[in-house]
Amino acid sequence: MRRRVIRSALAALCFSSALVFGAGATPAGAHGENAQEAFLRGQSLAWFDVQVSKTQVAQGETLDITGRVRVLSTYPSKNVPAPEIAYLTSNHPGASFTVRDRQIGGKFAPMVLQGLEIGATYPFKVTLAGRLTGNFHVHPSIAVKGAGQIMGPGAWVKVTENPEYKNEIILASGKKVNLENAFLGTQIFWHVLMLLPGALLIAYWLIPKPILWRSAYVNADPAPTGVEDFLVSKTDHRITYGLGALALIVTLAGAGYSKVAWPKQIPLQVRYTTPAPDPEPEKFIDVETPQASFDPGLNSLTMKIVAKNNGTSPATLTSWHLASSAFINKEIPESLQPVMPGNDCPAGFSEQYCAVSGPFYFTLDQAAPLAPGERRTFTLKATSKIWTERRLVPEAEAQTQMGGALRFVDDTGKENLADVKAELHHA
Amino acid sequence: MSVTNPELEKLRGSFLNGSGVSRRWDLLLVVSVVFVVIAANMLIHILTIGDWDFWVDWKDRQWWPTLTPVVLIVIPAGLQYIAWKKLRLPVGASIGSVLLFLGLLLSRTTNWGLWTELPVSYVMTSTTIPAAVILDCILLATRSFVVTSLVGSLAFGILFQPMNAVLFGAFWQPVDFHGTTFTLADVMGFNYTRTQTPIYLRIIERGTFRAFLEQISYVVAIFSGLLCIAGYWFGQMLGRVLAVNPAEQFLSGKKYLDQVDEDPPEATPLLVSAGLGASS
Repeated sequence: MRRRVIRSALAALCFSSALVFGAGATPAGAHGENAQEAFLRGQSLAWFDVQVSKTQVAQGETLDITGRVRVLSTYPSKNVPAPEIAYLTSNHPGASFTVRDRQIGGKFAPMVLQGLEIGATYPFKVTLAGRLTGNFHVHPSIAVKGAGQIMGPGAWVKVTENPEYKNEIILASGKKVNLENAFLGTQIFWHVLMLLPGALLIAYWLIPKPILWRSAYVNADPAPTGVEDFLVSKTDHRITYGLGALALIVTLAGAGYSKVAWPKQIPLQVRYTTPAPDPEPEKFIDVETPQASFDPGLNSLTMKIVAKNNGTSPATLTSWHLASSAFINKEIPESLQPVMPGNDCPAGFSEQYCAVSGPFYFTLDQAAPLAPGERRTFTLKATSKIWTERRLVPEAEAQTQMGGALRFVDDTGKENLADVKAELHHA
Repeated sequence: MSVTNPELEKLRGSFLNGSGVSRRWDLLLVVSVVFVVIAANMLIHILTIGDWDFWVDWKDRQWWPTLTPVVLIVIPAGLQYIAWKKLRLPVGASIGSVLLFLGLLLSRTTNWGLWTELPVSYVMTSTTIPAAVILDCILLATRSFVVTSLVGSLAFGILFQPMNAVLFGAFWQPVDFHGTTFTLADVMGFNYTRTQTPIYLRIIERGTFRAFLEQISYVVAIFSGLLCIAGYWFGQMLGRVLAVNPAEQFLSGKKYLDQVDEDPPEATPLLVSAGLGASS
């Protein structure tokens, strides 16, 4: 019987160990954004010109994620809080990168953003440094308090080993500190000192003395005479108070050391940044998007667009920016194509992680640029499995409306961004 | 006082001869207590003070020292009640604090150091061990839960900052970072960004127009000490309701005897096995 129990326990241990260590973890290529409701993603923010400056860095080497983010005029303030309080960051797995700089609207944004304006576009830059080796998917993202995170387009970045990697910073006192193990030795030393009185007290009372057996004395009714002194002797008192004194001495010594070793200490800091948006360009395009429809069998989405060019030069619809994706007009020359992050898929990665990488295209039934003064109704058609893989179509949500922003560029290079809110008709 | 009571001598003899409750049961108890107390401590820690006692850039002067000791005194207080009331051992609070510390240390070094690869000093746990030892000393000296709750709990709260100043003081040093003055802890929070925990969720001292805020550490220490008195009694209640009362019921056999409508025995089985009891 005993042998059987031991054997079963060993088998269970082997099985659980095999599960933990043998199965292996699959690399994280997504950050949960596809689980968010499509209409909220589509109608809140749109990302433009997102670029990741390098696809491979060594540990400690920096790369920049740059681009523009637009708080759409369709922002669903009735569903989620307006972006009064927000946070710009980079989304990457764990601590694979360290953040070295964050800029939005031309300002350093170390902490909280406040007062993002609906309908405004902000340039941003996030500087990262490689930390852990491997391939990692990085995105810019903005979190809105009470709403959640809205992710921008991502790219794969490979971090290679640098044996001399350190993450050093210089304190105001002039001392250099490596953040990878900052003051860890001090913490361990003092933790051991503080553990000492507690561990000794426990050892004194539990190791040489019986434990459960004492309950017989304590609970005896009536209690035998002298039971208290029998259970707790004068020596016990002396040793316990001695350890109490040691605990107090260690505490005061630690507090004193802290004052002497680091005389200049300040409270944790809080900073709010109000970024300045890009000036809105003169509006030359009026757009309405009355309806859209989606064919799940073909993974094809069509959207009716009514646009009028109020400008003085022909304008072209170059792209549709929706959540962390962008669809590009297949007919436009390369010079008009929007900038997108690289889509290089790391070697050895299955299609599961890279198949949904772009670029994605749409076609127009009338591809010619919109002439000055012309009002035209045309149909956009985009066929891609990204619609279902990234769950971009709000077919079964509380608001079946497509969102995003359309980017028009005229012949002089001027840009207009038109926010989309198209009723989704079920085919 | 020398022990001359023949009843006690008889008991001492029964233990020394190996009769009564053996050390194997002690070992079983210790092993069980280690896991149960670590689990209970970790649960209450994570559910209540989580981030404050986790990230170095959440350990501020206001919320962290106010709330952390109040929560961390609960399990030690419960254990102190059990250990003193039933075993006359003045080490319950120390056991609670030491086990909490060891559990947290294990979690931070493995989950967060080895597997998530965050700098361990960034997620280093605080300590309450010296305060717990002092709490046990006060109980031993006064043999009164009331005095221990008033004096010991107050000390537990007040000593929290001095105990941890040496562990985290270095992280409150100023740094000139991109033209802004931050603490080293803030810079670590910026560097090792919590991608799914935006910084606006951080609840730390932000400043108010209230008086005495220059001396916030003293105000917080006293206030925390007062709150710790409530935490102490809550912990004692948990110890009584979850451990002592059920154990007494079990040892007396009352629960089972009530079911068969018989009178409870005069002596508990444990006392009888130890050679002592009302009937002996």
